[in-house]
Amino acid sequence: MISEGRRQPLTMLVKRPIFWYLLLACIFLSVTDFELWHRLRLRHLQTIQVLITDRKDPYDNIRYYDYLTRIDQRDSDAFVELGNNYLTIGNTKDACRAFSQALKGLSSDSAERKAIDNICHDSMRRSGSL
Amino acid sequence: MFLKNSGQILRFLLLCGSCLLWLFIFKDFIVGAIPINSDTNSNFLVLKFFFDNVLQGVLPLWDPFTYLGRHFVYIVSSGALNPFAWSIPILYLFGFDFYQAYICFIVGYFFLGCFGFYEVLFSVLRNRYAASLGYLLLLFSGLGPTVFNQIHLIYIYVPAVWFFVYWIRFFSDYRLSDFWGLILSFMIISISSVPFYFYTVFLSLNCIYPVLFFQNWLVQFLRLREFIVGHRAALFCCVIAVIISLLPLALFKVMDSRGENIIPERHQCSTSNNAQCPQNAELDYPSTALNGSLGERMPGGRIFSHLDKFSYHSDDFIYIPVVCYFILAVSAFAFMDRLRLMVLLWWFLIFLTALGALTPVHRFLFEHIFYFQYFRNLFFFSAFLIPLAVFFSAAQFQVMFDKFSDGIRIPCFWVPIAGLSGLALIFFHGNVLGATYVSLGAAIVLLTILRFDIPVLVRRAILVLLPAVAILEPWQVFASNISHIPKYTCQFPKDEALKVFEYVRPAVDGNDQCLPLYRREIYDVLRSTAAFKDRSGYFKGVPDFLVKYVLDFKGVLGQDRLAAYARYKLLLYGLPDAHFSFERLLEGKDVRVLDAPSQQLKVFAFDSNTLKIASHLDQEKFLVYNDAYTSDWKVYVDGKEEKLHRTNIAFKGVYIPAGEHIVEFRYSPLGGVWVYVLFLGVAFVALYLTVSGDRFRNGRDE
Repeated sequence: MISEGRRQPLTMLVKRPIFWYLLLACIFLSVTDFELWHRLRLRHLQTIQVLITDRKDPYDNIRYYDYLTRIDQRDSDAFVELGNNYLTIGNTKDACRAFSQALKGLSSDSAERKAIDNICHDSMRRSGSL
Repeated sequence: MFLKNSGQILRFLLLCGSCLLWLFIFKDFIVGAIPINSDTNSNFLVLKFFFDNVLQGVLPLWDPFTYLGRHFVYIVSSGALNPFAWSIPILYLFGFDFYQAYICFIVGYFFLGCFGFYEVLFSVLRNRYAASLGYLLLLFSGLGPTVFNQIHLIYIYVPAVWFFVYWIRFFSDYRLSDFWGLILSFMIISISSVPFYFYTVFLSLNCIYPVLFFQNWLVQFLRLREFIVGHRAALFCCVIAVIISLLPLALFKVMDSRGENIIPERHQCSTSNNAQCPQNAELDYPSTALNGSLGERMPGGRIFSHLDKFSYHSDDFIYIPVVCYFILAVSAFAFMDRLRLMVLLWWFLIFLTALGALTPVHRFLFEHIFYFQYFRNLFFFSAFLIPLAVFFSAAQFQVMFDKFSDGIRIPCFWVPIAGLSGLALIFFHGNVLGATYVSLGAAIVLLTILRFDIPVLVRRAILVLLPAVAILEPWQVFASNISHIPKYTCQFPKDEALKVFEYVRPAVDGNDQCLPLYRREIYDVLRSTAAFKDRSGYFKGVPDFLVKYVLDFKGVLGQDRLAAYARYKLLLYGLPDAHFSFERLLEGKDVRVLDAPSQQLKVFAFDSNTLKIASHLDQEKFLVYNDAYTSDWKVYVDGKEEKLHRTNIAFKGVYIPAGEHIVEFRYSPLGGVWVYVLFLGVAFVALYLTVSGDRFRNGRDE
């Protein structure tokens, strides 16, 4: 039934897909409430942050939320948080990798730095990442 | 030999080989090294309860083991009435354990959906290669992993795709067997998960199709009328079948409207403040449009980053292989006909709807279409968005390299430009898998070569290589994600459980070894259900579906007193008093607690829907059965119906005369088990008529 339409060109309409891509993109941009979208994701992030700790799974929804963006932006706190989550499930290697990223943004006498050093120093030295 | 030429053999090998590769990638799930999770987990537990009952000769309508007794609502929405799900008890009888049988069913069902997708693609595009490419891209899309943690997406998708297979076939040949295929698909859609997603998708197609294909639509409408005139008797049967298919949902709605059952989690009301819970399943706008919408779940602009970090606990892996995006980009300057425009607009309309409150589309539908108040989790529309995106991509691939493109060809330079721009984009995205680069890079080279006039042999070699290139990325994505899943050692109930009536409920619930796996306490609760094991009167977290009176009781007495009271299922009061005081009850005055069978009372028959007690009392007494009361429960003394009292706020009570008597409590909701038996009977007949019609068609084609 529908296949018959395959060979019916759009005589009255633009034949190039790019026209429709751009048209639909414009409609999408004009009807979507991006501020609400941002707030919605932030709200969900707060729920997920709790769940990450509860479920002991650092990958839990990680790629969806601003948490990831913070990591991409080299946000030290985000790396510390990620490292702590790794530690919770006993994954020292990945935890130390996350902490080593965090160290770049912390001053040497900060409490966080000392805490991280205590946890990971030996491990990181063994793996050659320090 | 059903494979008649080399082309058919190649296609057969492609279809089967890709399934084998898929099974290899997900082998840890298949062999049970990684347990199923999230809604697939709960679905397994619910289906096990259902089929355990069936194997013992009972179609369960009541679940006496959970939340002090509740309606077994999952009979409508879990796929238990799906004829294909009945392969589970059959496999069990052939020696599989329940878990293996369930895995076989869900994986086989997913493959069935992918085969259906191939059929739709081929029926519409009439191009085997494009259909095969689309099939592969769907098989290795984000829909695949959801088999193991969000089976409802598969339950929504599979019957829907076969509905469209038969829809297309019917409006091509106007054959009755295809009409039965439509009916069967519709029936399965009605009882698998929530049917409203499909209704919306079907509705949106029927808004677009008549506009773009008015002449076709008019001709088809007229031919449909002729068909109806020529097949009145058969059509009458089909209409009856449709009505029967809607009955389970309609009966649930009737039951729900009485307000005796409640879903605190769905209504987002606290159990300690149950007075605020609405008494039916309608949802307010924020609940439907914000929670679980695609806007909430979608990764936004970073669709190529961190694909290896998808969480096993998350059931919203909206993923399409990078080659799909590349084909869409390359085809931007190709040819567009009405069919492709229809698919694109259809996808766009569903996409805007799935975004929920982020666009005005969903609010409009919520205000004007009644059923939008009954479902949320709009990200479930990805069960249609992913296949439609893949469909459009396969159709665009065809149009780029087929002869009918109306003289329009994509510019020579466009393939490498689009490809290199894509590579640059994902490079600046960061955190992109190596396989994404390889897959995209190889696709750029292959499509660039394909754009030129090349020898047939080279062209064929490229067409064979392209699918292999396309699945490189999903292979790494799935393999990486599987390697990250924490190893759990919990055991699922695998063997048939036997229904046993225990006079005493456990004081506390044991610690479930699978608890770290769960997202919510409901799965822990359902594990007891699957094992036919009573739970205590303590409710963890926010309960799922339960009887409202139990919540009322909890509100009056509090958690501890409720648990203390509900430990004993049978209470026998002395002389009828008509006034039951909780204080007297808790002090044990005038009440005899039965913790074992006795001369006076003995349970001699029990299943999920009934309880039969033999009584031998020296004087009239009042029996309380501490299992939740609803007005659908009946009680019979010596076969004669007696008045069933709602007793102690939430439970069932009946006067028993002196002497020897048989007391029977029976759950008899409107329609009883016969509605579901009728549904199953009609579904199996429709399946037979559809399959026999297909065999006739194949025989005729040969």
